[in-house]
Amino acid sequence: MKEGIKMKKRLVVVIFIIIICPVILVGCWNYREIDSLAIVAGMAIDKDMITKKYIVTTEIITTQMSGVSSIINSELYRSEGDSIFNAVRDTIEKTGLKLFWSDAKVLIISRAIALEGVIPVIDWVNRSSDTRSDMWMLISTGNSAAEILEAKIKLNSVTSFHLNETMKSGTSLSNFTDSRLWSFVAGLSSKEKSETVATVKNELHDDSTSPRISGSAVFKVDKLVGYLSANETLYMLMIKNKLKEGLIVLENALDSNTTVTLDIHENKTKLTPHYNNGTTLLTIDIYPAVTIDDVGGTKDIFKEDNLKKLQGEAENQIKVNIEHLISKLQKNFQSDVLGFTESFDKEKPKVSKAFKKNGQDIFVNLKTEVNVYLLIKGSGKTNDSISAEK
Amino acid sequence: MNTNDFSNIKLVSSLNENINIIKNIFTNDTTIVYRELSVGNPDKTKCILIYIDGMANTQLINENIIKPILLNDICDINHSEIIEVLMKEVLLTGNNKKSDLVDDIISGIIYGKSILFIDGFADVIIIDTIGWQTREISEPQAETIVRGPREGFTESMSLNLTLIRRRLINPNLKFIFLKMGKQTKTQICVCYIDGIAEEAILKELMARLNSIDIDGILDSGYIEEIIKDAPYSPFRTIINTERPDVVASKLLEGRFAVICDGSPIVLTLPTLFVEVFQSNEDYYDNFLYSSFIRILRWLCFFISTSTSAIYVALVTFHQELIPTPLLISIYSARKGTPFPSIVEAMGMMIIFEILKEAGLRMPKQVGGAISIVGALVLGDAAVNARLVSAPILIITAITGIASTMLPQVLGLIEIRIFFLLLSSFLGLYGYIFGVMGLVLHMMSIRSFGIPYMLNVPSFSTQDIKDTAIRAPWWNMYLRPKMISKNNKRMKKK
Repeated sequence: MKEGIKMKKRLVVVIFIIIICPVILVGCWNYREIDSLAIVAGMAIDKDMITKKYIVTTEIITTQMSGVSSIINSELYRSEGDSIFNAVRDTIEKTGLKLFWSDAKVLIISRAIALEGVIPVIDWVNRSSDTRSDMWMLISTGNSAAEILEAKIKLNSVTSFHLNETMKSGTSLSNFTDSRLWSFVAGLSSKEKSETVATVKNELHDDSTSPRISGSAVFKVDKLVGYLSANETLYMLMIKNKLKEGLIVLENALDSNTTVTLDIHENKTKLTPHYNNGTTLLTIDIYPAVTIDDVGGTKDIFKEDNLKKLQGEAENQIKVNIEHLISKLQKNFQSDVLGFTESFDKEKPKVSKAFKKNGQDIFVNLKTEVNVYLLIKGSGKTNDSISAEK
Repeated sequence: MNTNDFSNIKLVSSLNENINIIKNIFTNDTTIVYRELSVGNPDKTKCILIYIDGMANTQLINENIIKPILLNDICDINHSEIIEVLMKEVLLTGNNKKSDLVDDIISGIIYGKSILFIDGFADVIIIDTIGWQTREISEPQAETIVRGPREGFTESMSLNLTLIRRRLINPNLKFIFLKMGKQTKTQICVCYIDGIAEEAILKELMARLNSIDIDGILDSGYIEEIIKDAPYSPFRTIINTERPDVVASKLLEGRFAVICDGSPIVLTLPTLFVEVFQSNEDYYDNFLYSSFIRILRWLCFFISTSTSAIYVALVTFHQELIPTPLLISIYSARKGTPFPSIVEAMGMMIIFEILKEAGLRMPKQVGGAISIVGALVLGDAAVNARLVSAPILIITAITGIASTMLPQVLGLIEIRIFFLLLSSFLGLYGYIFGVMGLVLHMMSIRSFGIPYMLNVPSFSTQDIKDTAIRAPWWNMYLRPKMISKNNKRMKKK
């Protein structure tokens, strides 16, 4: 009896040791203290055109204690390599710390690389388990990608975080596209569809340079083919039914010197493809709802017939701009960033199949009909223009 | 005399011999008063009154025993009926008893009763003159409330029973008295309401109480530890209180109270886990406010057991889960501190516990100085000197304060250390592991046959009326199930 209890006790001890050992031995497989990391805020990729090496610039967060509070700042580390990953690994040599990618917000690619094709560059970022594919993808124009990160902003000491904030506020501006890395990669999967990516360049303001995101770069598959201005980007988003907010400025409204600014706060766009005897036609119905935000003049635009006129002028301006944008994309870039081919795929699959068989591009020769139905919903706090004593 | 057993000693009819027996038992005890009296004409029978100075009420003895015996006008007393005459016609005290057992006599004397020995009889009269000093009824220090009765139990059992009886004017309120402790002979009282309480639980409780074999019982804590279920668990399967209103409410739910003489702490059982989150004030205040506080207490239970473990797991294993701004502020606080996070967390927790325990035992005059040194100087200086990081200080403070939110003491510190160790070498995986283990353990505990987690994992509206929230009184028409025999508390509207 006693022997049995002793055996049982021994067995319990052995089992306990067996359970504890692996926990202690293998438990630390991913143990790392937070202060042993180098937090990457963003990365910029350039290419040395002579040596054909990639230059990766990473912005790494540094902190400095000053008394009780700490100052957050950033440092740039630059390394070269034959591949992106090679260059990234080289950075560890310089930082001495393991790079921590989960909080990297932006991926800036230089114009030169974009012209050659971005797939070799974004593959590692998309593939690696360290980085996140919700990084913002930006194309630097006019500057090298590294120069964008070199600029310092007073509002935010970490440039990448500043770019991140700017991109987040994009929906209220509609000056650039919402270009997440994952959506770009997803867009590459379809042959006809192309993606746009926001562009960034440094601007000079009284001695200091700061990056400004504006406009978008048009890709055909993974190669850069051209740019859209900030205004054109707004109309592109309008066609794609992705517009949330945006401004339309009517200069010399109602044949007076009054400038009226309309704030779009709602928009709905409907694409209807038609096919008739070999000709393809796309009807674009646009239903923007606006408020009059700013009346820069004394003209009384709130009279009923004046309002009607104003509506007509605004509709016309939108229509002209959209038609111009479509012809630019068709003729200059041959890049379907608007998703027209996709709408044919969905609603007229037979037509699009036939076109594909013949090796024809639906987008380039597509005729479009634009109808704008503008709705003026309000005018802020007042119904009058500011007028001088009559 | 070394033994406690007096059953083999027999009283005789000689007064002197009987007194000698008592004197032999209380050798050298100068607090015992032997007052000689003579009663009745014509033979003036000799009597001796024995009591302990300080235990018995001297004024009562003088007025109601000695005075009537000496001044009685019953002149002719038949000697053989003297005890009956004394008890019926002379003594003015309420509770008199005839006895010839030495055991009763000795314990009576010790307990503050007076014994009247009469010459020529082997019987004595035991007169209830208990009158020792007790502490006044005051508000319990450990369970302060804003709204509700302020009375608290004292060290005197009879007073405590009065406090309970006054709240439950009901003949069904039953008391079972026991004596426990070979040396101390402590009085224990089991209290319940007949008709609401389950007999099966009573039977089990009595069986457990009767099996206690211990030298002495100085506090109800002794009993609790001997009879409770799951003795190795950090959870309490028997809960206690110092408030008579709490005891009354538990009795009304069909529970039992165990009162121990000499202790103001009364045990109530069977105990459920949810009782830790219930304060008597919940029932006196607005139910909306009480429900909010209840939910807050559950939150505090989580905070105080888990925050430090989750923090360590996040900071050492799962940095990806921390939002960027938080990550950067933790990063900058951790930069340059010498110890790993787990050492910081453990160290600060131990320091907090030291401060807390020291604050409890310290004389009040020193308390202020120590808390300033502990809280301000230690905490602030440690962060400024970059010995520990600020986040861990905040987390230690939060966990420490949150643990004091619960009205009943619980083994929070054990659970916290358990979680912290697990998460320090397995990350969140280890933490979840610990939570699973804890839940399994809690689910397996029973208190006197009632599942400890009764009603906690339930989502039925009837069950959560007194767990996560405190439903209004007009809606709690059922008593807690399983504990009480008769489930209806009031008529359902």
